[in-house]
Amino acid sequence: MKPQLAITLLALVALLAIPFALKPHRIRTQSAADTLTLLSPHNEAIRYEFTRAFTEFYQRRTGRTIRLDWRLIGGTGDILRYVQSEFRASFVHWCTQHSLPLTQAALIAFDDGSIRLPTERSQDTPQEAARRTFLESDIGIGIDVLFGGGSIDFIQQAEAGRLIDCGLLQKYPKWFRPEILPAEISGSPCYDPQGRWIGATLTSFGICFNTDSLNRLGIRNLEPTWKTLAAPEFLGEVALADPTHSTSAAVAYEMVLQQQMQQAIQRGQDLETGWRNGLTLLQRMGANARYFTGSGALVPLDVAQGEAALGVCIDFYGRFQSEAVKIASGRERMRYIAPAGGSAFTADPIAILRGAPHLQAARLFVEFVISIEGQKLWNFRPGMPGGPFAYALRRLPIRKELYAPEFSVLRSDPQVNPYQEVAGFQYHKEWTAPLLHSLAFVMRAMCMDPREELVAAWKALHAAHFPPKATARFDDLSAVSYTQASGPIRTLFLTRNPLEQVRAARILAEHFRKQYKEAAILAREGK
Amino acid sequence: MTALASAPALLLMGIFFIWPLALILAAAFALNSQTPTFAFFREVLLNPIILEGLRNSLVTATVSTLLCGILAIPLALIADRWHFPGKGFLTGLILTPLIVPPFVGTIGMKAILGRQGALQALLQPLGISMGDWLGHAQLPGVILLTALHLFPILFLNVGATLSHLDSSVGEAAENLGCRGIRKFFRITLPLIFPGVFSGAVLVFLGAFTELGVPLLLGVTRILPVQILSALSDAATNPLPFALVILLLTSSILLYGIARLFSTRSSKFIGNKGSSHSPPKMPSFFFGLFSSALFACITALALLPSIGLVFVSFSSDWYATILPTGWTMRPFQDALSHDLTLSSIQNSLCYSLLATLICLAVGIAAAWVVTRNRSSLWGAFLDTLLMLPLAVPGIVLALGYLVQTRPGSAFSWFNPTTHPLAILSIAYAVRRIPYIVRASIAGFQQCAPPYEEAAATLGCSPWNTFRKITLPLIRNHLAAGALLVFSFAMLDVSESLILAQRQPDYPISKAIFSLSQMLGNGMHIACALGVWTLAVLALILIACMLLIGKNLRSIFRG
Repeated sequence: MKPQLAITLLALVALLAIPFALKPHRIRTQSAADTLTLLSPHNEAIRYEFTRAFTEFYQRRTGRTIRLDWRLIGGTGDILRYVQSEFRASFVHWCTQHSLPLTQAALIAFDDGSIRLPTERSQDTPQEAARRTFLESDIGIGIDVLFGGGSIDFIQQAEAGRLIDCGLLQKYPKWFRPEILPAEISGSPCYDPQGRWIGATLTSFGICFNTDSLNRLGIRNLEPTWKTLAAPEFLGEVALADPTHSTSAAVAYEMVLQQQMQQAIQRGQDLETGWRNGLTLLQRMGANARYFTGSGALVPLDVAQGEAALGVCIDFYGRFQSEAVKIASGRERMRYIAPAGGSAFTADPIAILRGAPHLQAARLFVEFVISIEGQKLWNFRPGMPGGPFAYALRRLPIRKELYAPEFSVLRSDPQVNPYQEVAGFQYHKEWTAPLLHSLAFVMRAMCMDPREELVAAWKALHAAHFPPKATARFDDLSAVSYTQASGPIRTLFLTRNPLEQVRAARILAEHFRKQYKEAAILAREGK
Repeated sequence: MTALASAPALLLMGIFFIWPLALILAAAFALNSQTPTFAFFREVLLNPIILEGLRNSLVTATVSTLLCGILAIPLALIADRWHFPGKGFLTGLILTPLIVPPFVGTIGMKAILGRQGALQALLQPLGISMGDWLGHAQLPGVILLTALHLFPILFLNVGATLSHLDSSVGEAAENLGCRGIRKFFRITLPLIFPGVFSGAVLVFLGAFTELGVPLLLGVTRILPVQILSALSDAATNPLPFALVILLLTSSILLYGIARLFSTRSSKFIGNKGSSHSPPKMPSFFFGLFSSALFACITALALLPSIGLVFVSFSSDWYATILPTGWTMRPFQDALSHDLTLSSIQNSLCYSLLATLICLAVGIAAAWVVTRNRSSLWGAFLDTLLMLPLAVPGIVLALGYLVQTRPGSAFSWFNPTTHPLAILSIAYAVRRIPYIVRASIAGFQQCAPPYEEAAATLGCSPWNTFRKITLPLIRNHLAAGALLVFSFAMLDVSESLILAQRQPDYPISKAIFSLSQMLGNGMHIACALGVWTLAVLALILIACMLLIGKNLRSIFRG
């Protein structure tokens, strides 16, 4: 063997050996007695802390070891589509195994939460029979726990029959008293009365911004409102997440609509006007957007690096990244602000999926997450008694006791108390919650699919100082009005016809492309 | 014997290439798996945004390939013709973009060319602003990054063709007064055209199906990203399958056209007894110019790697020429992370197994292709084994998801139950062309009379292969195997889609996952990227030490 070759191979072996030499001396649970399978959009830090703490808790409780098998599909939207797809495939498989007839109607009806079953089984229509079969079965997708997402998603999953009662309300009724875990916060539910999902933490949405970028743009003071993101001077500067992939993003945009709808009602106008004002804001934010990323974490990362001047992000993403940057660079170049009266706190839940293969372990995990022990992990500083081991998670626990003064010194964000901050905003779920899918669909057709035309029109309008005719053409949102969104667009999702959805998306996107092209021409003509 | 040797390739390709592709085809034309329909395909063809995505993919592939040609051909000509200072080092360094791990290359690029990047910091005191280069020039950004990533393939390919070029043809042209640029366009380029074309095919298909770069630059109107974003609801909506058909048809069509051109071999290339002039010593200034040209293009191609290395050794790099807060912490965090250790183990296992599968199947198939008397069967097998180059990784990965669903005949291979099996097979299927090409090159250089003599002396076919052929071709096999291993370690498409459970992540998905982590995730991901880069660089060096210049022959399409 040539000496050079021998040296190269030796260096290779040494390099390969480093990770094994640095192997952490933590509890190895690969060969554990039990397993718990979780589907989650939570980040690596949360997964690590809950794995570590729950394995200890489980061993104390049961005397057995457990391995947490995290399945990571993507954002919440991706996860929910995956769950829907897998349940559908499992239902088909189950029906085939049990030699049950499988019709197109049964496939649509089995997880349709709007179907009310008659008392007598004999009176069932084929759709109702399919629905009953599903609800009485233990059809599952091989996953035990759904951990993280928006409360709206969990409501829809529960209605579809994909979630089961975790038994916590019966086991610990004291936990569900208003002074510990209230039924709702600023109009948004904190848990399901039937125990099919429980809020684990509270989430809000706000604006993160880079102070250097604002200086570059000549902006001294940033107005803490959603309207800021729609200002034309922020063209190409706003980082936004894709609402079709991230439910968190869809909920953030829903908050923009909710605020405008509330203001419209306060002014004596109707919900339609509020919806239109909200969508106009979203459309302009979309025109300023640098991108619509599938990963919500990219927004604060890019803002911190100055790639984008500002963006919409989840509260704890903003707080976490701004502090991480401050520690690394020694100065505060990124900040997070909550829009004044523009965002509610919503529950970020946990639930057990139907057909969970490890039901007992799943119940214990849910219990752990809602217990004081589990709740401390969300916002205690690392190393504090009962706190996380390696990462400050910077999330807000849902249990009120954790906001008591005695815990302030232990928390990462002692100044934040969601139960005191909600005064300026009341969430009206009946206005927009059923339209969350419609909103993501509208955002896609209005901003994402025709993005190039939208940006071109927005640039032309800005350059021409917003001439009236062009601005009116640009602002025409009649195709996605509140009536349209609550009617035909919502029906698209209720009837679950994929071909119709694809067709409608194409037609609507084409409509906006044409509209933006016309607006750009009018603006260039100064009309 | 031919049937026996062909069987592994036919089995592997039949079950894990043709079958998943057929399932995708079937799904694209079925609504809810019940009623056959062309409606979704019609929707795809009617949708101008999707068609624009296809157009952007074609533009990206075409312009990237042209850019690769502009970069690679002059460099390959200089390297073939002249000795220049630092030649060995520079021609080795130029291969680095091939082994830059996915995702982190873009982080490195942003750190240098971004709005608060090093170049901006360098130019700011001079009153020059880079502006929002990456933000405003998104498709060009994809094109440039893709070209800088892929041009070494063309460089190797053109180099290999030039090294087989009969120099007497060029000398004859010069004697007749045809020199310089004229000689290049009239004589050299037509002679090396098949080689250029086959290299360009690899580059074109790679750029056409590129997913990682547009994903991180936020370019959405491009076909592979459109497919990925439609994938999540694939079970209820066949639109992504119809999109896949569009990509697949385009790829196969383009590959077919390319193969048609590339098989027109030149009679002046690779003839026995042909002479190829050794490199000459240029004038001092031309030597310096050659070194500078190599160094500049290499530096440009290495920008993502340079940025990546700096980010990995820093705690912050923002609006300064060099990073601030130099530290080894990201390496410590990266290499001691739970996710990292398991991903390294997984990647090593998946890639090693894939390499073994490729070796077992590829050697037998290459033997059939080179030693079989029926040229038609050999050509069929060769084409079949080259086809994975024309199929995007996400298409196959999607096919495997459908093929291995619970309740299906191949449910045992489901990625959530047996990821090692399906990921190794997926990696092997996509990389088998490299081992086949390497083995064919080896068999072609090993004269059949040796084998015939052994057979005449009573040696069994297996013993002949073991004692005569294998020792003669082992260097080619080693090089091919190392390349398969390296490329499998860097796989993106299959890894992102098929590795669903954290303990099953390979390195590329671990890097992606870490890069999404807030705080110092980006630095940790880059550190893991640098470690991977170092491992692969050492593998490549070992590979070059084993077979020297013959490495180039593997890239001859």
